[in-house]
Amino acid sequence: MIRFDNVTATYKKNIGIFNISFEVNPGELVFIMGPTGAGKSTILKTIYKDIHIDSGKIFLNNKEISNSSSNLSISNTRNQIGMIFQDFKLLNNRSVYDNVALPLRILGVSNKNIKHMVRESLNKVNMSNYELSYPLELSGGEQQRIAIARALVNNPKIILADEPTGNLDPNISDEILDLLEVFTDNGSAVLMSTHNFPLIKPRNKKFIELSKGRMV
Amino acid sequence: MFINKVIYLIQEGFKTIYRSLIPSIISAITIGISLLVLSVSYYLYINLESFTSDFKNEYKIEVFFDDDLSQEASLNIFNAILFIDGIEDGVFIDKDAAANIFKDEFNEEVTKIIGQNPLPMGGIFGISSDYRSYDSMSKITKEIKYIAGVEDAIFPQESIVKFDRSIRNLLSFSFLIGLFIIVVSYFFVSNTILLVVHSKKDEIKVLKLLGANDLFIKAPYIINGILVGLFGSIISLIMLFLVDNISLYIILPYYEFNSANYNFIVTFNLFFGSFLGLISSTRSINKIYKK
Repeated sequence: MIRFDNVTATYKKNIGIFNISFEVNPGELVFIMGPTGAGKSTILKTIYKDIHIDSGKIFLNNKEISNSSSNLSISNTRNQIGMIFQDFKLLNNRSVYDNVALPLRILGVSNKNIKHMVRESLNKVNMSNYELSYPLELSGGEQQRIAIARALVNNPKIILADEPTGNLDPNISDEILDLLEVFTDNGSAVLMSTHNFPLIKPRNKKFIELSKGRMV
Repeated sequence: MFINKVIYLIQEGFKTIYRSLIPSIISAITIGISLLVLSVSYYLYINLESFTSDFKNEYKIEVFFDDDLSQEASLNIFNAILFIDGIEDGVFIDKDAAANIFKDEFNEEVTKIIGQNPLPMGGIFGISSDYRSYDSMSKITKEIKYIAGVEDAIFPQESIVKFDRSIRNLLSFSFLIGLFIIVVSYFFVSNTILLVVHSKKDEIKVLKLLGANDLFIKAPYIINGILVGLFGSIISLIMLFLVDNISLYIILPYYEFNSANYNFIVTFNLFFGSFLGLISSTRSINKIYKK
């Protein structure tokens, strides 16, 4: 589902990721581990095409995505992925409903289907009573749930989570991980970066350890 | 799918007004004032044109025939002049008519002063509208002077030159003022919209991350610009209606204004207002988008 073949992507000389190869299969939750600056976010950014790679190949759903950098290919790639960020990246001037509906609006889904899909997604994260609330009225954990609902709303087969628990306390972090794990049950592949080893250790999941941009 | 997107983007265009109410109101008022000044300038221009045209109706060429010509020969020359390009009409002046004109102008009878009527026969010729300029009238006068039996042909050269120059200067000045207003309001409005777009920088980033393409991100701001322009033109039309009524009340007793073509003014305001909003918002979103 996600495959890296010897990928190198650099910002400046000696900063970036080097010769990274790994695979994430359908239904798998894989962690990218490492300290700050190890290149965790860079791996995710190369997948959603926020940075270009220097060499190697990246495949999503068996299709190479690293051979084109046009705006259209960037949009198309991002439309296939559900993304979750440490700082949630919710739009504070829009309601929870409007935030979760955003990926569907981008795809041009009809209002009727949007209503159904948004409610379903909010149900999955136990936030169905917050449709009319605004992000700043919610706690950090609740905001992250909304961000997860937004990432899942168009049923993507690939979910990228960039330090989704970085701003949350341990209990809430565990709940968020539980949620992400549930979504692998329906065949989605989840790739999550974190520097919090104690959080992921009990889960016995596959993880990729990075140090200075290289796999350890 | 495409229709759903279009409907959503138009709704977002409206919502952007609500989400950035103060800058939108400031932009709409700026566009409104600019359009009002342009409309009033247009209104003054068409009145100036009609005033100019009234004044130019008085442009005439006076022709004097040789003293020794008979009335029949004079009439022949008069008719020949009527056929010259640029001559619209003419009045034949025989000796008696010339004496009457002399009496009207000097309040004395020429026959009583000199004992006989020495005034030559002649004609006063009106000029077709396309020829009412100094150059054209000089050309016609020269042509008339070449006709055998014509002693002299004159027109008020100095006043025509002065009048033409004044009108030309006034029109150039109005044009420059209009251009200045358009340029200033374009930059003012686009900078105000730029502030709105700038405050949405993070929102634009999130939309990009979620896979929105350029058009999806830009369209609400461009639609917002067009809507702000339309609101501006409505403000301008309301103010114009008030100005029109007030000025008629104040000026009508002294000068009868030509009423403007209201359909043109309404169409101009709506079209130009939305166009100004469109180009201003397009400039702003492109500027932020490149960063």
